[in-house]
Order: sequence, then structure tokens, then C-alpha cells
Amino acid sequence: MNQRHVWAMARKEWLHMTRDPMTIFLLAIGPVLMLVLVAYSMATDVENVPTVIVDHDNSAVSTALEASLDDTVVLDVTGHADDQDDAESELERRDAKVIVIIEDGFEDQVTSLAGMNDMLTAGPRLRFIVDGTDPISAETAMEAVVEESERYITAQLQQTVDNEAENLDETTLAMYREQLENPVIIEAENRYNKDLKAVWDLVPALIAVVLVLPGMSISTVIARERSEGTLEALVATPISKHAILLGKTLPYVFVAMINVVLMYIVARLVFGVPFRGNLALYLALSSLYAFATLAVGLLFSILIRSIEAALWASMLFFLFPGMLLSGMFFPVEVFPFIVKLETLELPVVSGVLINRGMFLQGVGVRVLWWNILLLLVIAIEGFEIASRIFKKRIA
Amino acid sequence: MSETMIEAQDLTRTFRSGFRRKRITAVENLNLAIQPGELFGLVGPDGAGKTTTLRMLAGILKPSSGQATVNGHDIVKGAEDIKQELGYMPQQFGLYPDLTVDENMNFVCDVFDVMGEERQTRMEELLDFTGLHDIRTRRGRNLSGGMQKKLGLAAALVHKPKLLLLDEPSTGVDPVARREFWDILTTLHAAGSTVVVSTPYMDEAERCNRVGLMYGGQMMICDSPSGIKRMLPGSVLALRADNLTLAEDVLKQVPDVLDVQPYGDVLNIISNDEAGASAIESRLTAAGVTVDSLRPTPPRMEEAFIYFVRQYASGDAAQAAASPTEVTA
Repeated sequence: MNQRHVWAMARKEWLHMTRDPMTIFLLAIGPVLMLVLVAYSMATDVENVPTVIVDHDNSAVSTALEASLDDTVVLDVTGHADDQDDAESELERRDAKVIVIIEDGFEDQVTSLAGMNDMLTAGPRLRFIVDGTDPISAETAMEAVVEESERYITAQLQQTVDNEAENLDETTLAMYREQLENPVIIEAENRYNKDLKAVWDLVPALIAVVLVLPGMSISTVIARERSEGTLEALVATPISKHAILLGKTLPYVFVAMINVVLMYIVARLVFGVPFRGNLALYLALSSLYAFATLAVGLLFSILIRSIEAALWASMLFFLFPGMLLSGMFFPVEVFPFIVKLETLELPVVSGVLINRGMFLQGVGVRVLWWNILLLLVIAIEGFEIASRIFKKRIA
Repeated sequence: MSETMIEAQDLTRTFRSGFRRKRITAVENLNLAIQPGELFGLVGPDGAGKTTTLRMLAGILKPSSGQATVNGHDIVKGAEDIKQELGYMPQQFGLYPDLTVDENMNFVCDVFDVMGEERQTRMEELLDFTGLHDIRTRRGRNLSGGMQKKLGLAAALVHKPKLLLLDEPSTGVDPVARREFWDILTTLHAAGSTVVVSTPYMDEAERCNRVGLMYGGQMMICDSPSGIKRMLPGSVLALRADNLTLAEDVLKQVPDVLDVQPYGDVLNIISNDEAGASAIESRLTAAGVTVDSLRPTPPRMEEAFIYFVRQYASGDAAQAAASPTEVTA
């Protein structure tokens, strides 16, 4: 492939874009406007939130607590971790969303009066950490874990007090019983999104979702050359088809990166979303994501001969699955297997995970490698298939 | 490498078209040999297969069967080699309407690797040559039809191609621009370029050194303009009379009259030599037509073309109906 030809093509495509002020305005500003306009997310039922237990107590009581947590509709105990660090790396990888840490001495606290006094003054030897990147499921999970633990602890203490009742005088017993009316207060710690701000979660996901717009607009580039009659002259020149396709894609990658930078600024300054990842890596992954989306758009552009049909096809592909299956509103985990399979070929799913991961969790390649790999495959394969289908002929 | 610039053997292209995917033959068993330095005219009625032929020769359309070489390269396997040496100008304006003359030219230069100083001089030369120098910052869509055609030609010439394929370069252009355009082509031809040009205009066919007459996807006649005119049987008589409509009706009943072609206030009569002017005149007078003048006139491509096309149309009317002609567009 002749590099000069690629640049010639890219320059020409850039001129087309900038010649029409409305096009460049919509391309550059449109996604940011979308980001600002879309404000609310939808509520979903949360079930079987993966929960990991760190049990330092190792007692009959802690085992019973685990079982009763597992029995709830919302929580699903998926495993045990040796220590908090181990458990937190599961949280990072999104293998777990809730961590329950049972400290040594928890059994004492609920089975003896001395322990009960300790719990009432120093708090229970029990801690929770909840992944807040997905506020809807986080909130539900937090409620569930706190409620169930409090119910369990209260029931245990009730029994303890009943057992000790004969050894206590009237006033002390009354005092204990009164205390049992007000359940123990347990605080759950919320990782990544302390205030459970929906907007923190929504904005990074939306950045990925609205970046399908350049993908939609590239889906008309070949059809446009065809309908304007310029394709016939173009394919009669020595420019290679790779140079044509790559040259056409590059300006769109550039525009997508303008979008990313603008949306990053809006996310930080307007919505106050924290950014905890590596910015350089984020920009690199964003351009990879843009390229993958554009490769799919380019494929539509080659497969579909008329401008209208190409636009409709890319809308059907990008807009609706892009919004609904992206994982922005509904976590991808809740989809049936076949839909999950389909989400593999949607770059937006990986885009959403990368954006959330880098903004809120501050994770890097170590955690996101699977999605990076998916995007690489989509980008390279999409482009390869496109250039195999595209013929330097007119029929 | 062969001496011949273009050589086609049994070149055929069919399309499937319409809801029933009916097979349409656009070009059928075309044989053609064009030598370097020729100015070759491809003529024929609409839908004769001229555009399809040129597209196949340009390497942008695969033949259904048969083969052809352009400057020694096979049009399928060597399509990309052909494109290096070819200047192709499609029938439609092939350049970008939202780019200026300069931007369009620069893009084409990029693609053909015409760089640096060579590009500067070549662009100056071509813009002077085509008279586009003063409007180089004007956008493609704001050019007149004639200017667009000239820009298309200039773009096809940046890399000094060995062969020029021009598809109806003067259709939709005013007569003055058309004349200028042909002066440019003649200059190129004189400089040794091989030019193949399709045209619906017979005065343009007259300016070619050889003309191929296509009809229904086939090459019917291929000869020099004078050769084609000599193939016209009999002689041409020009009739001026008071009632040409009546005269035409009368003449069509005369067996020796091969064809009658109204041409303004003149009726061109192609007749067998045996039917002399006097015999025709007496038939007309008998029918009540007042003859002002009836005299032999040298045949032009126009008469030859119409005569041959009518011959083919009536000769294979049944066949023509089976292969509709609305193929090229």
C-alpha cells in the first residue's frame, strides 16, 4: 500500500467533510450534544449479584451468615477470597460486585453478651464493599447485603439474650431487649462511585455509545462516490483499494478523537465525573474503539449500494443494539446467551466497559485486555473483510 | 508486448436486470484491433454497448466471456497495470463537485504519483491547454458542462497516458466548447497519443481516422469514415420540394429507394444507381409534388450511420426485441 496514496485519499475525504459546514459541525459537536442531552438511565431488576466472601472468622455463625446471604434473591455468593486484596482484584475484574468481609471475633460478638456490648460500642466485625460503577445494581445489592446481615445479626443476638435471660436482672434484661428493637447499623463501603451518582456511571458509557455516530456517517462514503458517479473515475486510477479504504477511514478516526476529547472535557467539567485511569492509554484505546466502529461502518458502506439503504442498515446495527445492548442500561450479564454472543461483535460493548473501567475504576490493560483484544479483532477483521469485498470495478 | 494497443476477441458482457433478473447482453462477441496512434471513434445508437466496451477496456468491468488486451495487459489479470497507463474519462463528470479545480487536479496527481516540480509544470500546461487556468479555484459543481468535460480530460492527462478512453466527452456541451474539445483531441492525436472516443455525433465520427459502428452490442462495421461512406450502396440525392411529407410517403413506395432521411427542409434519398434522378422526379411529379431541386450530394457519416442502423434494426427486428437496448446509462 502506497502511503502517499492513503494521505491523498484522507486529505480529499477531509476536504469533503469540511466543505459542508453543517456536516463537520454535526460530526464534531453532535456526539457531545447527545451526551449532554441524554440524562436519565432506566431502572432494571437486579438479581444474583456476584458476591465474594472473605471469612477470617471461620465459625459456624459466619458460615450461617454466608448461607443466608446466598439465599437472598439479589445476592449470589460466587466464591471466597483469602484476603481483602484478593477480593478487591475480583471487584476490579468485575467478577464480583460485592465483597463481604467477616473479621475474626464476629462469632463472639453475636453469641455472648460481652461480644454484644463490644458490637454496640465498636460496631460489628463485618464489612461490605460494593462496586458502585453500576449504581442501579450497586444500590440494590447494598440494600440487600445490609438488610440481610442486620436481620441475621438481630436474630442471633435475640437468641443470645434469651439464653442469658435467667442470669440477668430485670433492668439489664430490659435494656438488652430494648437495644434489640433497634437493629445494628452496618455501613457498606462503596468503591469507585461513593455517592452512587447515576450520572458518573452514565456519562462514561454514553461517551462510548455516542461514538457510534461517526460509524454511521462513514457508512455512506462509498455509496456517495457511487451515486455521484465519481467511483467510476476513481477505480480507473492506480490507487490501491487499501489506500482508498484506509484513506477514507482516517479522517473519521480524527473526528472521533475530537469527539472523545470534547466529551472527556464535558464529563469532567460539566458532570464532575472523576477520571482515575491513564489518560494516554485512554486516548489510545478510544482511537482503537473508534477504528473498530468505523471498520464496521465501512463494511456497510461497501456491502450496500445506495446511500439511504446504507444509512438505514448502519442505524439498525449501531443505534438500537448500540444503545440497548451496549451494557449502558442493562448489564450485559443479564442477556440470554445468544444475545451475549451477539454483543461480542458490537464494538460498543467493549467501548462501554473500557470507558467505565478507565473513568471510575482506574483500571488498565491488565483488567481490560479481553475487550481490547475484541476491539482489535473487530477492527482488523472488519477492515480486512471490507477490503476483500471492495473491488476496483463498477459492477 | 504486442504492437497493437487494443485487441479484443469475442468480448462479451451480459447483465442481469430487473425483478426477474433477465439476462441482457450489452456487448456480444466484439472483435476489435486498434493500433498505437489511432484516433478511433466508437459510434452507435444509445444502448449499443459503447460504454460497456470502454469500461471493460479500462479494466473496471469484467467481461462475461472473451478476452482483450490493452497495451499488452490482459483486461482482467492486468487491470491494475492498464490503469497505470490509461487516461479514462467516464461519461458522467467523474471528479468531485465539492472540490475546486486545483484540488481535483492535485488529488489525481497524487494518485498517479505526479509529484513535485513535474506536477507544477504539468498542471500549468494542462490548465492552459484546456483553458481552465483562470478558474482553478472554482468548485467542480460550479463549472459549466463544457468546463467539467475539460477538467475531466485534464485529469485524465496528468500522467501522460499512452491511451485515452473517452466516453461521450462532448455530450451535453455547447457547439463552441465541443469544437474546442475536439481541437484538443486532435492536438493529442497529432502528438502521437492513442485515443478511443465514443460519440453519438456524426460530425465527430468524421474527425476520427477510424470508426467502429456498434449496434445491439455488436461491432457492425469498422472502417475509416470514407470507407464507411463508400459502403453506402447507391448514391444520395438531395430533394427540395414543396411537400416533403407527401414526398417521403411516395418515395417509400419506390422499390429502388433504399432509405429516405428528412433533414431540415431537405430530404436525403438513398437510392440504387439504377433508379436515376429523373425516374424519381417523375414519380414525385406524378404524385403531385412540386420538385424545386433534386441533385446528387456527397454522402456524409450521418446518412451512412442512419442507413446502417435502420438496416440492422429492420434486419434483426426479432433479435433486437429479444435483447433490449436500454443497457448503458
